[in-house]
Amino acid sequence: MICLRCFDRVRALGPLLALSLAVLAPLSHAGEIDEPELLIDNMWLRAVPPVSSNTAGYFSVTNTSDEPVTLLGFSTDIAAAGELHTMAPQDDGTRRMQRLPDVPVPAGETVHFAPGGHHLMLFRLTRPLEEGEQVELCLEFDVTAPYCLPFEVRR
Amino acid sequence: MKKLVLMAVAVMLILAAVVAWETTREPAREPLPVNTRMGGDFTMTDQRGEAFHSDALKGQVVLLFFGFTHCPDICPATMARMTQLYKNLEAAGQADDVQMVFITFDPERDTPEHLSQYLTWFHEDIIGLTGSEEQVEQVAKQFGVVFMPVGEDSQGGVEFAHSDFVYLLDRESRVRKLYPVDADLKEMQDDLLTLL
Ligand SMILES: [Cu+2]
Repeated sequence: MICLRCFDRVRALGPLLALSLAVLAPLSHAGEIDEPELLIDNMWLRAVPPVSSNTAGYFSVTNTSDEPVTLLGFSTDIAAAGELHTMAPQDDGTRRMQRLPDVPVPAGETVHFAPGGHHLMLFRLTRPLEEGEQVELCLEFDVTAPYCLPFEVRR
Repeated sequence: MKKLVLMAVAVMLILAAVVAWETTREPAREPLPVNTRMGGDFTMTDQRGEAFHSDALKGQVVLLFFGFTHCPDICPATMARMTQLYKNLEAAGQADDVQMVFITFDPERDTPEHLSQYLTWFHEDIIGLTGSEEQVEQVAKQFGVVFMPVGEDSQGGVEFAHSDFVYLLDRESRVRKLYPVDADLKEMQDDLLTLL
């Protein structure tokens, strides 16, 4: 996958770097630990009854580099739309979902997407998900190519 | 001198044994207090489309929770956890007098049929209740549940902000304890067993 945004940034850093990144990029997307900068693990999607058309996805991302990285969104075949959400506490003690435009992952820090907090929101599933199956989601960051990883469907 | 040291060691060993015994011993459980500000009778419609009166719950220890089935994060998480607790009780042969009850505050979308399909996937023993807006409002008020439609999400679905406690009711349908969504299942099971 080619990410135009990434190339914009890279161009500013000079053609030499661009060339080396272009060469390295295809090598860097295998397994859970892919790329030196971002470590993504604990990827799962919540299994929901077949009558449910929405679900949520979770994972952790650690930025092991010394540059801030920002999660911009994600894409997948299994949902008609995907957004970054969080559960925001309200003044009256209730909580509600809220869309996040993006999620910063500061240098050296880990951001958790977990039940009751940040989640990947999948709208209008294109088919019911089977417990135990692996579904590919591509996480899109500002300065790297997308990370396409298997998310396990579980309860 | 040697004797003194030996005696000191002996005293310490005895103390250690006493402390160990005291801390591992099951603490005597205080009965759970009755919450007199919550609860009461209600009539709704169950997932078979039949009228359901709260009297039907008398005699059972009840785990009651509120939500809406289009909620993708908290509600399915609570459903999954309560189902797990119920399965733990079943495995221990303690589930016979325990009843899970889910009440929707989204009666427009959560019709009996939809509730039935949704709940059966988690466990067939869950009672799902829906009703008129007035009925839902009344029961929410009785249990101090705050819920509020907060407009549409970006995909055009109605969204609710809501409180998300799980209520433990005794055999007389009195509220005995409220749990946050991430409460410890073992603690809930222990509490529940004191009511059986
Ligand atoms: Cu959401």
